[in-house]
Amino acid sequence: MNRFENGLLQYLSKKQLKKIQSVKIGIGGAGGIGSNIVIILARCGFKNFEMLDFDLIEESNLNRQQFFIGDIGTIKIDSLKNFLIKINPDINITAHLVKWELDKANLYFKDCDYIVEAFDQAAYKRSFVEYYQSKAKAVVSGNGMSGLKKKKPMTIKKVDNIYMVGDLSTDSAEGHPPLAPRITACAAMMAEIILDLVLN
Amino acid sequence: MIIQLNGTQKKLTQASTLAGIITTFTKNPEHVIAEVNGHITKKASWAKTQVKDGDVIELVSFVGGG
Repeated sequence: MNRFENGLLQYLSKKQLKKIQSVKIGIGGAGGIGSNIVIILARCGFKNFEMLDFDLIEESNLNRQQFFIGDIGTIKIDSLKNFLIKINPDINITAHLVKWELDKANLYFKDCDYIVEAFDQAAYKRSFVEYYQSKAKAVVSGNGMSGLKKKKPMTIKKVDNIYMVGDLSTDSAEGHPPLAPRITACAAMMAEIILDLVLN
Repeated sequence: MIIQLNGTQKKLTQASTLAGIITTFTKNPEHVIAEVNGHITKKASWAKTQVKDGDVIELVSFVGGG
């Protein structure tokens, strides 16, 4: 039990923390949703993660992703590891520095209880969610968290064991900019779903 | 035949597969996930899934961003 976990026990029971720490979470994508949700989940006490992303950090990521100017040009997941162990030094992260492809999907997230879809392209999102839906207790997916004008309310749409979080309509590919407030709000809502599923 | 599609009743005048429903009612089938009577039906099965009277179908489209 480290100091972070001792602190968390002011808000959660030992039984609750034990339950949280028995869970493994897979996250596909370490960008806007991925980098935010893993940090939020880590602050809730989750400590077992498997992440997949091959991207390097760019200037255009810094407006919403949990990286800093000094990280530009480095691997997103490596930077996140450095961030996360400052929150909880006992955190475990399995990293896959690859591009996700459907024909290799069986190589990843094999023993994850919950899986987060945090990619940015709609076709990848669909394939990813459909593939892992039958392999995890639940899949939580970000779906529509961009935009500056004509915004619709953020919502949760549940189909089978898939939880889609977002406004379900604004598409970043159609010129809606991805900005920190909605991206962060979406990641936080997604994290809360996982926390609720684990504890309730 | 009457089905419930995304919470709204739809009358179908002829037999249809799930693939047909998705093509008719969504803009981009490549971005759609389909739930039939509470369970996901994978894209590979859409063309062979016959829609039946009373089916409750939810189609959700993914949009980019993340």
